[in-house]
Amino acid sequence: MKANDRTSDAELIQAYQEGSPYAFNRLLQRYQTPLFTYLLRWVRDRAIAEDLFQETFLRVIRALPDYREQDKFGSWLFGIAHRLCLDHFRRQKACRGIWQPASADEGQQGVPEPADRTPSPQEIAERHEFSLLLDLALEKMPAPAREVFLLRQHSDLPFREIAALLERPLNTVLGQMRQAVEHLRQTMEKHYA
Amino acid sequence: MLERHTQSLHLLYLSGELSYDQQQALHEHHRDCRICRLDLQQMQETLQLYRSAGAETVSPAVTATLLAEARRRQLTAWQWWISQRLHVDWHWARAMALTAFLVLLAVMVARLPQQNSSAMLAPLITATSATDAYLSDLQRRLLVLESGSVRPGRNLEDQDRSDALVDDELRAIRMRMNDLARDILID
Repeated sequence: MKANDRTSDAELIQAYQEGSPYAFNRLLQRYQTPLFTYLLRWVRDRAIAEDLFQETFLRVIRALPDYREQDKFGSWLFGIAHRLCLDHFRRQKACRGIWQPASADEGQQGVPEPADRTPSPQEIAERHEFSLLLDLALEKMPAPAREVFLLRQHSDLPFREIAALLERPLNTVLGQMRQAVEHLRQTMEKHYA
Repeated sequence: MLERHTQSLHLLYLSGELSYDQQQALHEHHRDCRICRLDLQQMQETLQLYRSAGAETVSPAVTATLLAEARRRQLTAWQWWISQRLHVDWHWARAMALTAFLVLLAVMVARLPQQNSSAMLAPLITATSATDAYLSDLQRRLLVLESGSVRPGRNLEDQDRSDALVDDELRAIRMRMNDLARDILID
């Protein structure tokens, strides 16, 4: 079976379970950019983000043959990634404080480069500055608010599913999102004022 | 300061999670409330600014590894399924294979002798028939000689004629034996 853009996650999962060689490729294409961006924004280290990305999808591959709740694939996928991130920070916290500022090199790794043209030095500088600013804003953000914010921005899950995934009441999740947006807005305002 | 409920409504509005009626009610409220309008606008701009940072791309090596692993697991699963099926029906499969082999063998054996008798053995059968006929003829001639039907004459001319007849007969026998030997060798 050849999957097109209109094929739902449920259809792709069923096709994979029936042996289609294209189905997993399509699922990976669909989720790789949002998931990797989510991970990279959170851990702020490309190598670690790639490890977590790979581990997330390896767990998906292992569980996919028996997976039945096919309509909630996105929620399930980001749930796995979220738990892996938490485990990563728990391990890291044992060595150093959580959300210790990353080095300048780590910050540079997260800067995306467009493929179609070479950016000017000024553009590179501006983008790098903006990326560092985002890192700073996310770093200073309260952890529960950051979790909600990143999930909402990159997984595109509705707030109800995010609340279920994080096992928090919907109103709490909405309050934390509001807190995150306000924090981001203030950081940007301070910088560009 | 906005109420928490209104702030939550703005978030749900931006994520497209409000029903049609709720959206209409919010639009209605925003016509008269500048503070709420401003709050929604700021929230929208902040989120757009964040999105403008762009997306990150994972390295092709990682995706290639994942695709290979997915395919490997898929094939393993299918191999297991097939082996399970073969295990269940193994006796039937063996019996069917053996039957098919025997039928094929029988057909081949039934065809081979027909080809030999018709094509390969025909000259040999002909030669055997000719030999039988010749031996019968030879036996008849020897019996004639032994019976004395051809015997020496009373005078010298008769005796010479009789000896010549015997010599002719013996020559004829030798020639026919040579012919027979040649036919057998050629065949």
